[in-house]
Amino acid sequence: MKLRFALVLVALLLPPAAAGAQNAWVAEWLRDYAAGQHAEVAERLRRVASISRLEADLEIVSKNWLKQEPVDQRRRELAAFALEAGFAQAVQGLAAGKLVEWGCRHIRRVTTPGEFERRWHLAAFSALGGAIDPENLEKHVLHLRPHFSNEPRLPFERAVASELSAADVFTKRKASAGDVAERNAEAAKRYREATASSDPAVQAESWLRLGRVELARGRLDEAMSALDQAEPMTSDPALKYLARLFRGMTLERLKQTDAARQAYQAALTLNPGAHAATTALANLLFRAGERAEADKLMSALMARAEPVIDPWWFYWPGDYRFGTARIQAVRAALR
Amino acid sequence: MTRGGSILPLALACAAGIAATGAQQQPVFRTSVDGVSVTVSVRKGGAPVAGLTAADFEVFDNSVPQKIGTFTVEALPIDVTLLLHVSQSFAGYRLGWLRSSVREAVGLLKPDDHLRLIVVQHALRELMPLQGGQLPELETLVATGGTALYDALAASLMRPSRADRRQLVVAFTTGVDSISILGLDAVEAISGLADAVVHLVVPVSGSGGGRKSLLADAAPLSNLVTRTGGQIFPADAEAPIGGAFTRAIEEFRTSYVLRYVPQGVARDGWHDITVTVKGGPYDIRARKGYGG
Repeated sequence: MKLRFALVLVALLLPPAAAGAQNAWVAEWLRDYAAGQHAEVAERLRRVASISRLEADLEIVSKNWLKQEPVDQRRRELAAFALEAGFAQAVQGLAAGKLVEWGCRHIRRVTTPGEFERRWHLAAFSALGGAIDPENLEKHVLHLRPHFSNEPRLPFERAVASELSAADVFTKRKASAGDVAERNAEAAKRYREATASSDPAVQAESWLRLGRVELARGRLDEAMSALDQAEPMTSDPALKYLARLFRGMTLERLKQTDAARQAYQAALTLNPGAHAATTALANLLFRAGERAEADKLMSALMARAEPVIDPWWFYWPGDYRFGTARIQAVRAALR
Repeated sequence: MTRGGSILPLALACAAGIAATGAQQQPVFRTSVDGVSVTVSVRKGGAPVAGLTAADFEVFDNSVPQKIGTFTVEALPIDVTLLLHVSQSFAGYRLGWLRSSVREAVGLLKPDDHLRLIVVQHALRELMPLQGGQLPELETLVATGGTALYDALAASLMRPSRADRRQLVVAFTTGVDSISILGLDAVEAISGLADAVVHLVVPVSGSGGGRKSLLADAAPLSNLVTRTGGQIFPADAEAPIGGAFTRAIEEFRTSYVLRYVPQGVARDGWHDITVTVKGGPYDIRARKGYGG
């Protein structure tokens, strides 16, 4: 106990860490970024080995950075830098989400939030989606709400946060079946609210994701109904593909094998050779006794040297697929 | 594992790989004429029990005794499918462990045995089709992206099996799936329609709680593995996995294959299989059933 007290005392008596040789690299990168070398710095950030170290060094560097005028512009530069790092390092998961939230603390202190801040927050949704960080995604909606309450994506992002927190691939060791059911019910409720959005793109994606959540809940009629709404509302081939894929899965659960097969085949007309629809179709055929056909599909799928990009791979990371465009929009507004 | 990291698409990164080469065997599907094939391993005190005959076995299909039609011992070559989990979570030392394991595995096969390699990321890629002969270059394997483990197991079990060869699927994996479209229930259903035995080789390190924690990731797959007559083998990540894999291969080689045409049971639905051996007690491993 005495040792602990002594350590606390020593820590209090030490002067705050100053920018020095150890964190000079972050200071240099931040200067380059603020000078407009966005893509170059983003590439450097992509290669950073320790995102925790980056955050710690950025915290130290930020103190001197914010001593320069105009402070709001300095805050924007810091927040944009952190966002770039979080997006580039989304593969690090929660550590990336933490860094984005570090940037958010600075962006929220800007005295007159405007278009830059709106773009920053939207890009943050992409980075948090990529990091599969439902907790910070949920918090982020609350951060954005006071200044941008009319942003059409807010209800949708809250629903995505609920859906991610219920996904068994992330929660199987952390949540009971009861918890998962409760979170899925909340996600469904939120997606239903988001279907009333003024933005047709948000409406379509909300119906699509509502369909998947209802399928996960075993509410098959509700799932079909939502998926039927989704496809006609969008021209995005990725969303159309997913709507057809989820329809196939729902129809399979409804024991409508022929209709399920047609749905998978329809998905594959949009994205020939896509993994998820091909595997789902092969599974259906194999179980129906059409083993040679199932083998033909899987053999062709696995023989590809380069896989067809499957929109299913982008489903769980939510808004991550918009990330590059949103980051570009942030850079443009920072200039 | 890094939660988000393991499922990020990284779609461009997954393109690195090796094109599959070689010709496929002509498939021979199990038919109703073949009946049901059950691979049975019999051990006593950890050692395989040799010299058993058909008369030593009793087979029950949904509790109804069955007549064993054909019976073979150690006569069949094996087709081994290795699933290589090389997602982001296998970056670093685990990838080296995996490469050396595959090389050792190939060394355990006999000339008549065949080997297939499937790379498991968010996409599945057949690195080597079913064949004997040379391994492809493994140094080009890059650990990236997510893990469609359930899809990979399903894909392996769906491949046609030849009636004159035994089928073994060995997955080198943590057991964590992050991006499959199929659920574990679908894979279990497929396993009931396939002949293959599925083993998992799970890298573990340390001892005590940490070791248990690593094995816990694979625990959801234990039902699937057991149903096929397979096992989950922990293997020290620092040491070669040769020991674990050798056990799996040996056990498979020293197995008996019983075939019967079901009598006195309804064709549809799940069939529980029970195998007993006279003169025990023995440690008997066999698939737990099949889908009708």
